[in-house]
Amino acid sequence: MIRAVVLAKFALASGALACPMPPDAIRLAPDEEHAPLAYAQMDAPPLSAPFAITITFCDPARQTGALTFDALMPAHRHGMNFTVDVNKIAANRFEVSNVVFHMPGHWEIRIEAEVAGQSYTYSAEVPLE
Amino acid sequence: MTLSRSSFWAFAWVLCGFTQAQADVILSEEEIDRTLRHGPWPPAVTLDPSNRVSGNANAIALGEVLFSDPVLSKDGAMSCSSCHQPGRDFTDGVARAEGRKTLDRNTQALWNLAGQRWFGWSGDSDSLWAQNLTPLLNPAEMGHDAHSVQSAFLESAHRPEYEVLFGDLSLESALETTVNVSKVLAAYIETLRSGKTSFDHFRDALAQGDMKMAAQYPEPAQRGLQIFIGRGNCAFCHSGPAFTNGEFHDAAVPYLLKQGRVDPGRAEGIDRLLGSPFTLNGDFTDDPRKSGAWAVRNVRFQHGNFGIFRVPTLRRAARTSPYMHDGSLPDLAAVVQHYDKIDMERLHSDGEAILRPLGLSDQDAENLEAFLKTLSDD
Repeated sequence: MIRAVVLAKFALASGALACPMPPDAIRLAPDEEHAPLAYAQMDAPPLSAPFAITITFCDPARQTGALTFDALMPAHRHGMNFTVDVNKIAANRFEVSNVVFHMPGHWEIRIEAEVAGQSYTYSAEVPLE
Repeated sequence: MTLSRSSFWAFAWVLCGFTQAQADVILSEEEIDRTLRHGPWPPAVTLDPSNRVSGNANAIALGEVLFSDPVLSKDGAMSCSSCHQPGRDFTDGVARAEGRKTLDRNTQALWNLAGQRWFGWSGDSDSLWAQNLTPLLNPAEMGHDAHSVQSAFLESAHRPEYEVLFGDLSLESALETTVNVSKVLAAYIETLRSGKTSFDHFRDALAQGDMKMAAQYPEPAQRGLQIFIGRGNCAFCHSGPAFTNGEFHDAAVPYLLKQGRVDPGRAEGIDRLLGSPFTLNGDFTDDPRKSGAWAVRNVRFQHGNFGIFRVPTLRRAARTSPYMHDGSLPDLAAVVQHYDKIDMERLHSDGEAILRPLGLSDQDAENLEAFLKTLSDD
């Protein structure tokens, strides 16, 4: 009983059990340690063609409001040639569409999210062959 | 397991033969993987949903006739083929196009335009039919206006064929006629597709694991390909089966024009695109779903757009000198030298960091040129 309570408290604290990250998802690295766990899911990005990314935030106790998305190639010092469309498709879940990586190489996605009134920045590296 | 003497020699012969053939393919596994991304070629034929006569045999036939008919210029002095000469791979062989005056940019070839996202050096248009309106209505080129196009077709011998496609011409607005003519031209131009080259045969052989066949691709071309997909960084922009990512980059070519003007390149292209009623998001598309309109809705204006130009396909490029948006480089050797010795001062100081001097030897440069020529030998 005590063990179950401890596990439940751990799950609520980390969000890990409340929102398990699928194995094919990319964990988004937050700029603050108290930021809720978030991950991105996408098919293999096509070269120079639009695709979509789903962003999920894992803390059900904290609602995610606005989300902005951008991507750049740090090594090449350029970003995308298009803006993206962001739609909230469920509580704490967003679809970012019309993402276009127009060159092969390492892209870095950057997400700014407002979670329970607090702004957090996340990033992740996405390779494109 | 033991082998009989005859089996051993048969095995050894096959092994030696295979090794010999493989030795003639000098690419590493990673380089082979990168090479495969430049195919297969040709791509599947897709029709343009924004053009209701795309793929229509009557429209293609009429478009081909109109392409060389001076009825498309207001004074009957020139046709599309005056600059896009079929016998010169749809270019004109001069640095900058000669319309009613010398224009600012080089005449681009018309191969493999179907399915592109942007058209023209600065991407003023998001469809082939919209791009055709630019020379048609430009006073420095064909010099028509919508009314003169319709008047010309009302009196033209092409009117019956036109009306088979679009109905009674006299019931249309002048603008509708003009857009329809541009769509007929697009139906023809999108059929201009280049064929398989020796590079494609090499690439297909690699895909099939047929190293003996692949080994027939000349070694200098293979070495040039290694530079292209490797330290040359060429494949960052000249990517995919068409050897272009269809986007816009700074190639360190001066954008100052002789008369003290500048060519704003993509910056002006975006301005024109966003001000045009003839985009895939507009009223003249025939696609009720407006597929493809996301690009014009989402295109992003950036400071770095100034003075950059669309990456051209390299297929059949060896046949279409001179090169670059201003035709300033006379041949492929000059293009290779341009990128080898690239003038970093000419790049945007806060722009993308892709290009740098390559330090090619004379042999490297010859190999790179040899590879480029294998994209044009179909």
